[in-house]
Amino acid sequence: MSRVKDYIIDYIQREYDLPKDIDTDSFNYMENGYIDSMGLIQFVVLLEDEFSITFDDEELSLPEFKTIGGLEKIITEKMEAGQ
Amino acid sequence: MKRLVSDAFFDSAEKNPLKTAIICDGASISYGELAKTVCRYSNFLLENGVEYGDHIGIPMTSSIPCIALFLAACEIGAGLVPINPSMPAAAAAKVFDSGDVKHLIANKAFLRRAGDGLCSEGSHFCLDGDHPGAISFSESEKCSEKRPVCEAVTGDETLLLIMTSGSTGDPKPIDISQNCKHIRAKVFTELYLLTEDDVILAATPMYHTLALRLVLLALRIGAVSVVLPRFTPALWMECVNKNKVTFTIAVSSQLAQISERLNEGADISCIRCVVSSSAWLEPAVKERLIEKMNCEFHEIYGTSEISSPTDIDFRMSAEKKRSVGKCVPGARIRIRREDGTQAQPYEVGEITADTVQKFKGYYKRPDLTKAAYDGEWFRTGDLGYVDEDGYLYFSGRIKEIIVTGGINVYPQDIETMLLELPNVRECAAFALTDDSLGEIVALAASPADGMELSEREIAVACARNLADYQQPRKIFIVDEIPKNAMGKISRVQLGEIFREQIS
Repeated sequence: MSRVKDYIIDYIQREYDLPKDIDTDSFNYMENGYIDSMGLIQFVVLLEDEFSITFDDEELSLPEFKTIGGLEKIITEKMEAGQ
Repeated sequence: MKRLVSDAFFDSAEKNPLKTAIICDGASISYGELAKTVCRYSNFLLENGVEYGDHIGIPMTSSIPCIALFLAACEIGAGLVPINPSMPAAAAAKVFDSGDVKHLIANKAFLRRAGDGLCSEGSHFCLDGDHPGAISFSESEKCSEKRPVCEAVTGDETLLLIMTSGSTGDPKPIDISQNCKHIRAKVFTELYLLTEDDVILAATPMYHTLALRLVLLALRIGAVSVVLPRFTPALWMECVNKNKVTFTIAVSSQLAQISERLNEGADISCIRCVVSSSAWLEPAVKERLIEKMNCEFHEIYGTSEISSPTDIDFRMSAEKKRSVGKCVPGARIRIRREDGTQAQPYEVGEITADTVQKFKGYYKRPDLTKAAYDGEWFRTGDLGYVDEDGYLYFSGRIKEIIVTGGINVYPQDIETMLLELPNVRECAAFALTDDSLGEIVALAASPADGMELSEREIAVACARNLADYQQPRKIFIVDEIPKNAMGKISRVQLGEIFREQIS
């Protein structure tokens, strides 16, 4: 697993383990309550800090942002773009 | 030996061992099995260095093992200091220090992240597997399934320490005994006519008193306790529907979110009674919920120190929709003028209460406990009035806390942390109103002389050092923080000033 994905999964599992039988990439961590609207701000700031990137509002509202695989892709692309 | 909470649970278990006791996150456990687990846990803790009167720190998740641990603490006379599992290590250390915590029981994820350096005098226990230096709870499997004899337990010792903060940012632990928990549960069982046929949902975090209260309401009378670990409106409705939930107390911000989904989510007509708590519910939201849910709909008012001295059933008191209710049995309300005399009906003053549900005091802070009372009356720090029929109305707060999503945030906790940054001269956290969460945390900060300060720096420091619910949603960098005529920062006024700036 990539460092980005490891970080995301570790963070999401701070309180509760992810279900065993899921497709991690398509797992929607918001709809499943692993991160709620109150926790999202902290998650976003820590991701930005950890990977030296900045998300804009449009990215935050993308459906892909809420899945583990989608978020990993968004972050990886931003890192590759040198942002 | 007096163990009213655990005795009531073991009575339920003896009567109906095969009945489901708890349903949580796809798992369930019967009364008989839960009773055995509680005994094993109690004996396991006693065999591994936990003694009567010891305090145990626990990043508490909504899970069957954590509930069993709560009952085990009742059995052996230990105290639990529950914290949010996402709490950063430094904040946890401060909480545990003020609660004289000796031992730590946590999941692997917490032990890995924050376990080192916490509770070094006592034992570390790992709830979900193995962790270096921690005793694994899997070893409790070998322990006796008989209730331990713990003669010393009176029920008056500390069972829970719930952390709040004082005006200077000092921890102010609310001390709650087993006897107090028992009385609170008894009052509400009778008030809501709960029976063993009820299915009672707890959908708030387990490290707050409300969820434990709901679990206890079920387990002491042999009802089914349903625990929802992660909340979204859709998950809540699905859970109610699937488990045929009949009763719940929800925080008002949850109900506000649910009210927007009532037409699209799962059928929840199985609910007999819903109670809104923790913050005042907007009348329009209330109307919508009452109309659509078609069940008994109550609202309660209270604080962690005194639980809930008032309750209102809106079906019985339709014309009092702005009220937070009348006194429940064993409680009295008095509106206090600033000079200490009693206010007249409709005259706003501080809400004070005298109730059988009151806490023991602030742990090891008799000074703060004394200051919290005016004679026998607990001063809530809230403003309100009563009408001619004795109904209480909430009208604001004197105490400067922020209630976001039903959770109390103490501005001092945020400010103390930020003032450690060299480039912050002064800062103030305050509440801004929010449609979904009731209030959100906002923060104003000014840079130290000749230094730069950015919103991002503040956001990163908060994200690293505070829990999720304490994160500021709005950050304002200003040259000078507005003060009142006395030269003091008024957090209430800041809310008004910055609200205007945004709009």
